[in-house]
Amino acid sequence: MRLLFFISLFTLALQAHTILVINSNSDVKKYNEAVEEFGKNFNHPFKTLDISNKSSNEIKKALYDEYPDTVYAVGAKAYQYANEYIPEKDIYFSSIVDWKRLSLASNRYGVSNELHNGMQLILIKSLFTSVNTIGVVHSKYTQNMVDDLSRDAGALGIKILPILIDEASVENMQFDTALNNSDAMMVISDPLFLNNENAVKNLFSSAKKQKKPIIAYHELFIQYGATLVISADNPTIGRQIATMIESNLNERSMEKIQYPAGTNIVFNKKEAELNGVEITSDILSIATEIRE
Amino acid sequence: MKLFSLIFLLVMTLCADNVKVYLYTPEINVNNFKSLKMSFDSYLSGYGNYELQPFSDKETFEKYLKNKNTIAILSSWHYREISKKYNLEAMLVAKKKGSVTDRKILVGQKNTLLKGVVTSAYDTEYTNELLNSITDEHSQELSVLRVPKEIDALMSVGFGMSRFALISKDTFVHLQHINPVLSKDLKIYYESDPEYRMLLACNETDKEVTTLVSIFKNMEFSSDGKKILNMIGIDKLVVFNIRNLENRGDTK
Repeated sequence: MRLLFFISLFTLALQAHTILVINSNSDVKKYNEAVEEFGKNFNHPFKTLDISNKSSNEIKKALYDEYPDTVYAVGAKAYQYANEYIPEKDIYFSSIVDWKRLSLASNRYGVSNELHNGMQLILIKSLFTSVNTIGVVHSKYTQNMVDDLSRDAGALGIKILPILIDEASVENMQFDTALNNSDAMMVISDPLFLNNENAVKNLFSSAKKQKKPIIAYHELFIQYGATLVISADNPTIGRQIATMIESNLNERSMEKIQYPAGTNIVFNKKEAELNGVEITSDILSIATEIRE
Repeated sequence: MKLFSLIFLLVMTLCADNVKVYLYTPEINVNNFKSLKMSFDSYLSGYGNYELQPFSDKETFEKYLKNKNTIAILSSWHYREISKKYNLEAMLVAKKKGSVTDRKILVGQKNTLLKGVVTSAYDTEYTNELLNSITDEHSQELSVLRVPKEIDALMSVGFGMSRFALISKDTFVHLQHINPVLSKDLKIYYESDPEYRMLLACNETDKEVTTLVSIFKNMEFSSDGKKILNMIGIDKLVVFNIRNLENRGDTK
């Protein structure tokens, strides 16, 4: 009887814990995919707040009115408002590019937007049989990213060939020599490189001429001729946050900031055939989408 | 008259119902269904009015099994559960690397207590049933995080997103080959008995079904057919017979 009483008390305590999901913009597909899967996999009641058309004052009022115990902030805007107005609360975040620039208090948890380098490299190694050296175009802004990539690649027997660009060289950068010395090229989210359309087009056309595959991190690059796109699976991120909050409520230990656990792989079959690149049959069972 | 016959034939062709092969297995990456259906349909249409109808959820799949002349591809776990209800009989069984069976394993970092997050690419019902059965119901402290692919489940353990992964032994052996560094710190905690890989089953054997079974059996002999079989993670489909039962422990 006493046990039943404690179980009832515990259940009530869990129900009393209020949770608010703040969506930065419900028109953004990747935010919605995460929110939707979070809802399907989270076993407690929660409310959702879309702040895309709200003023700062309206958001502030909504947060004070709700005053939730836990917030799941989807996107940078949602995180910034939660962090500003109710910083004392547990805040979980996802879908924020480069979360490391955020100043995080001890009650912050989240899933990064970017995959662990190791996951990308293992997938590349599983799919491309003849890729041993990968060229990476980068500037000083992404030097740390390339250093990490080189370290993780070394453990898998892959060599990273860094191609350093700067403000002066980016416009007329020629990639032929680098492509000659690489089996594939990898496009990372380097701001200097991506802000220069000529440089991007230059890389893709040179790669096409030399029949070298390009591996990118966003589906947008398929239209330029990327052979493979490896990115985080957004629905899995929503499920991951649900699992993290459940773990915390049940006082189970977990990593506070995690990499995405699921991958989304788009394979450009046409481009692979044009390049004549050797791909293992694993691609057919691993790819999320095969573009014919 | 000739024109009338041609129009009649055309109308008959357009009106003819395609024979559908229903597919649901918790072991296939559901995101890939569009490509899978397109490839299967293109292959099967070379032999007649056949098409694949894949499902991402068990309930909807089972609704379609109520029809007569059902041909279905499903996991052996699911087959065991519903074969009597829908009068299904296994005709073919999937084979990979010379074996018609597979084992599921629970893998984790060395010296880890049985609690925390388990990543799994299978649906939640199947995952929970597997966990209960292989851990002798010691899985209460485990919570499941569903991921798109088995390789994701395994990499999650390696990179700290989960404590354990529930995967097939094939996938683990594959990762050991690709990345010995990542897999050297992993340990198999539990292992299931060998289970049949996916089955092709039907509930009535007529001429049409026999033809279709034969088309599936012969897929391994054409390059297009082989590619499609690879998409569902197998090498071939072979006749399911009593010898398969005797060899159930062949991968042990």
